[in-house]
Amino acid sequence: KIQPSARDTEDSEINLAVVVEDSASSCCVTVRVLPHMPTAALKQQMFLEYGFHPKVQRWVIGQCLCSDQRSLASYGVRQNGDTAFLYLLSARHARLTPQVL
Amino acid sequence: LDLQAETQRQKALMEDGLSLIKHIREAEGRGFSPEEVYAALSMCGGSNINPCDWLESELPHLLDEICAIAASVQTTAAKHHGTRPQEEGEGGVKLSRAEAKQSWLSAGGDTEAAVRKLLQDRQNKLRELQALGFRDVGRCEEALRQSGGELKGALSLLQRPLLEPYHQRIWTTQTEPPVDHTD
Repeated sequence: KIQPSARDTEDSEINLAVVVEDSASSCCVTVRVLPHMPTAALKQQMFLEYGFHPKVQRWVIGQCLCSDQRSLASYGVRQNGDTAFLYLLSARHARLTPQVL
Repeated sequence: LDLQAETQRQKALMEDGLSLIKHIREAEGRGFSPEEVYAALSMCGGSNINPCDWLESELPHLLDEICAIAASVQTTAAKHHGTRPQEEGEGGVKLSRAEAKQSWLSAGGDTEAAVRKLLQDRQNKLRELQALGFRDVGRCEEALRQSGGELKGALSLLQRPLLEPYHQRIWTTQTEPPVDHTD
């Protein structure tokens, strides 16, 4: 089936529902993203906007643990209200030291 | 109907994500990385084996298997090309669990891909060592195995014997330790 609007939504920002999780708790925020951006760019964006170092970020979309090069769209993110999970590792598990930060 | 399918899709995104997060959280508590638990899920997906339990009890065996397959692939390839496997011979490639694990993780739990990657990575490291002047393939293989595939560690293992005489000279040229005659 042809959907004329599909092209537009592919190229424009959407509201991604991001459930932020760590070993203890969980909360939900909205992040404006481009569906075709790679996961690495999203990590960078979260670093700039919220200060979480990319090394502690693990993104989960659907059944997948996202790899840096692949786009959000390739994991099934399409439109407003789609959910992604951001798991934040403790610095110890991410082998992160204050020097790296 | 379309709307219903869309709602269904969003619901699946949510539920699948949550279930993976649950495993990641448990894994962190038990000292495993998200990548480890994700690869484990691809191995025991479908069954109701807990991926962390699997990592603890089964992964070491799988890693040994990956090393064995890689070693046999290499030996077979050598035979086909009419070259002798290694100077040192019988053992073929010596691969460590640490290297096998890295390959297995970066292959997302795909055993065959892990074997290919393991061999490729090892080949690259061997070339690098040879470019640095270490020509004895057998010794390079052994050093890499002992260092868990770390190039740095392998180099230090290979070069330690070169520096051993210095250690000996440090101790032999030292003057006799002063003897305390106070008693």
